[in-house]
Amino acid sequence: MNQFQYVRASKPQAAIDVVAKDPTAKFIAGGTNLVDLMKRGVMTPQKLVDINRLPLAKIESQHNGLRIGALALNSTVANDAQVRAKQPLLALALNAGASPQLRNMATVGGNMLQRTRCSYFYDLAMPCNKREPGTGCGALEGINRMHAIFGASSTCIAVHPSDMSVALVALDATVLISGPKGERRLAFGDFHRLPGDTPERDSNLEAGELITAVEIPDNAFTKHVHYQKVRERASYAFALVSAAVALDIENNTIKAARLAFGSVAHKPWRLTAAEQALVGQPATEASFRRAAEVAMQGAKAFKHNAYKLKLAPNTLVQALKTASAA
Amino acid sequence: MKTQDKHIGGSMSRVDGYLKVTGGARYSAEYELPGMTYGVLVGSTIAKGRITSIDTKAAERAPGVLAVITHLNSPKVPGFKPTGKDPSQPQTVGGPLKVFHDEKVLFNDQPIALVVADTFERARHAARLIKAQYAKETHQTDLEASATQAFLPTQAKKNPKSPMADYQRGQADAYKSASLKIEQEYVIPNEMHSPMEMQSITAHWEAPDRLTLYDKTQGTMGTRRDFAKEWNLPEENVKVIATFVGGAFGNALHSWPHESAAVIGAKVVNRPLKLMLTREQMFTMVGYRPYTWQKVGMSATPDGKITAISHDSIGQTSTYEEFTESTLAQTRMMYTSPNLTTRYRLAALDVSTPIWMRGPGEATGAFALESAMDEMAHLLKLDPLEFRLRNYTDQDPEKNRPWSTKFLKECYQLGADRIGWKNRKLEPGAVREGDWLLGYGMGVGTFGAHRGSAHVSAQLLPNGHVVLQCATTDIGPGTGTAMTQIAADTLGIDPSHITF
Amino acid sequence: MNPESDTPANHDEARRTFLKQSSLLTALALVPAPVVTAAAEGFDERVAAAFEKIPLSLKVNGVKHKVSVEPRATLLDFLREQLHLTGTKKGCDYGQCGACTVHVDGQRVNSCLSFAVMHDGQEITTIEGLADGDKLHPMQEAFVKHDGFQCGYCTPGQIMSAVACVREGHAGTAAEIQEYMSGNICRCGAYANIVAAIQDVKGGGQKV
Repeated sequence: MNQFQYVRASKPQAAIDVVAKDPTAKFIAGGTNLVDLMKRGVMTPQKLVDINRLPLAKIESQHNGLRIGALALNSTVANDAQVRAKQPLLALALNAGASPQLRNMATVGGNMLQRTRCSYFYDLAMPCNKREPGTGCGALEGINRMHAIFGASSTCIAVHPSDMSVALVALDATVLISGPKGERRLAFGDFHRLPGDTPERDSNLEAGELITAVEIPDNAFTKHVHYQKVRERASYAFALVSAAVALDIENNTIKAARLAFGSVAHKPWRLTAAEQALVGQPATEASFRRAAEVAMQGAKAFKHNAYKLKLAPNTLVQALKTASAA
Repeated sequence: MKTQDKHIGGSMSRVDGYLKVTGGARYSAEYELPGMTYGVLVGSTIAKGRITSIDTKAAERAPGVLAVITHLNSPKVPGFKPTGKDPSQPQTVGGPLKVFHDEKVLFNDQPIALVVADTFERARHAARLIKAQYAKETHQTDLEASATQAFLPTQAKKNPKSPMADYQRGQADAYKSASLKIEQEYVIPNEMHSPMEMQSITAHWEAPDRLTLYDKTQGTMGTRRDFAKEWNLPEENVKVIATFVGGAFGNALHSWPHESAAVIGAKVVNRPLKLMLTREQMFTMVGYRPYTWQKVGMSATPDGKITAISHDSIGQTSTYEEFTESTLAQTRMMYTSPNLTTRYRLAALDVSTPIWMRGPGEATGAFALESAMDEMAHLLKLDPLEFRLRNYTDQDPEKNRPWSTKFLKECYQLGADRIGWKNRKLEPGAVREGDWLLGYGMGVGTFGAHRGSAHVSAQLLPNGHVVLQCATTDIGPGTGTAMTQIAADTLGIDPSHITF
Repeated sequence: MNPESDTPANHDEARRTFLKQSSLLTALALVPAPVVTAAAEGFDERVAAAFEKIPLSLKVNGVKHKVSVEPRATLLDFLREQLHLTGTKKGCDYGQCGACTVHVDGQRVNSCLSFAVMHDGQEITTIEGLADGDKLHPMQEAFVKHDGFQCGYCTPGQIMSAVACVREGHAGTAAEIQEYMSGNICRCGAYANIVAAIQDVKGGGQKV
């Protein structure tokens, strides 16, 4: 790990100024991904701006919604009474991630910004366009069992591993950002990028921009929700495939639905067409299967991840069954 | 003095429990020595070829770096004398890897450099600054692709009675001409030991000819022998301390390149050197249960008497060392069969050498044999337990000797009773419980319980306490506690007065 | 150059270090570019030392420490190599095994995945700080009683995690314990006994 300058920020604007002016500087909050990547030499910031003391950790109800500070810890958010009452899907997704220790360190902002766990990205001896643009994609013809089935490009087939983000994209969250040019808001679905020709860019944050909070509008999804995470171990492992579902059911008819897949693409994968296929339908397995079929349109597998073509729709159906029975 | 077994077989809290639950147990990277330095290894990024150049200048200039050792500047290790008469063969034929010995790369992540610095962070950083260039050669790491080059291990060539030699009773491959037969292939991948403690060593040259190692090893005597040989030292000049070992499961039963590297590094800087492998390195340079491809052919009479078994096994090994294990031992003695053929072969691949892992050999072979037994039982429409009982050996068919004791039948009965084996349905997939398919299965394993002599020194103190000392290790099974129980019963002294 | 960092303790110390760094940097800024690059690449000892260490003030097992730490040192390596508290173990160094679990301000974390300097002003509890002198913590006793370990390497992390698990209120059922202890791996397979130890402590109602 290279030497770096370490400074502690006490005001957001000061932190932003440093990082905006210095392309080799990075914010550090929980560090659970950044420290890992620095140990492996995958990321080599020359300066770290510790933002842990910034006043950005509050969770509060506001007009028609919940505002969660970017520095709120994953475990704090998952245990928060307001979150559990108003957005239980978020709590479920958070608790499905990592381990209790990591959830006590990881922040909301850090969770969104965590990078792929693709082993070619991690291995400095392997080609990786995300890590070193122009070197190629080792996973394309390599071992790609954990990789994307949606939205991939020939430059990168990595997936975004966050569980929390799958729930947030399903819940139509908004990301609040503070930067050198001021404040802005970004729909959660527009925060993460597709790889396209620029896989080195995970998100649409500009240089020096700092996530300050996430807002989730109040909704009717307080009962029939489920986060289904399929992985090779019962716990503490990244998903092969995951599904976040939320249903508003009245008289066994689906009034509204939110669906999203995790670990199938470079970004959390909202399933708008499948949601529409559910609205007005009875909450039955037949409806769920039809929605799953719609959800899988456009899916494309690689040599080792064709199992996801079956696993993903089955996971979605399973999640829907569990959610509707709640 | 014989006393009633009060403690042997009974329960006793582990004698090292207090140390383990308070963080007081010291493992090999946890000793404080003045002037301690830190070692970090750099591994090759090709599996086969030669290092054509290695640039260590930036690493050497990095803060805190005391030495950077490669094949270009490594001190001559006396025990690394050239072997083999053929100069074109790697100098490491038939033995452990000789680290930093020459420019040859024999497996991916082979240690090609050691950085020694005054802090771990400085050593780790400097290691990243080292750049190697290679003349890469085509590597072969696919066992099945190399099957045609599989060979009989040297020890079998030299000794036809070796457990690795081909075995034959009755007619070779007799199953082939039978009407009721199965023929199946079984593959196991490499299996890593992955103990919680990453391999660690603290090497300290207390004098130019006196070496002390705090080493993660399962055999302190073996490690002592290895390093005495490596440095041409009398064994009594080498001290090996392994008071606590954080799991090993077999991977600390061999001396590995990182140990040699640490000893070399400590000699070069003339200060104690601490080296802990990374978790990634635990997958590449401390052994593993080898990938093994097996073929089993079996035939039986319609009433379930086995007439022939053929069991072939090809396991991988490195190009520089032959690793063998008793994969086919169980097949030769477990079931009656007038015709039995076993053939054990090795495939030398561009990998690091495997090592014994939890029931090495027999576990691998049992998987194939027992699966084959189940498949044969299925063909015969016989209950798998009944099939095994019909082919039960009352004496060792390989050595033609009665067993000293064999209680397998009793085990079968006990096990069958306890899990309700009689409820088993012959047809697979016949029982459902919600989303789950339920079934009963069985397998038999065997492993050699070899015994040898051991030396323990005992001191009876004036206060009636006993101190026992033995150069053994405890990787977790509770050796210290078991020995205390044995001593307590043998000497008739309370365990709380015994220190092992 | 550096943003204001008004850390509560060591304000003067921080200022002195800041000034030292800044004058060195000014000196560097006036030096022709190639020489700066050479220095940056090779970083001779004098220059490196000016950048390397940062004052850190924290409590470990009730003992206050005022030290100088280089930013790259993880909390884990700081505890083991600088404070020689080797009870906390390195099992992977990547936050994947839990052997490095300690409490920071009462919360369980993986000490391998944060830098020591990030914990200025905080209270760290390691396995060495659990017992009350010679009196073992109930969880430590339970682990011995239920044989919740074999080789002992994952044990400190397991115990620190187990104590937190009970305090968090996540030791209600065996299934809950398994889920909330899933961040601690044991390769010797003592899991069943670890769960039994935790249930014993939870059921015993002692202050944890």
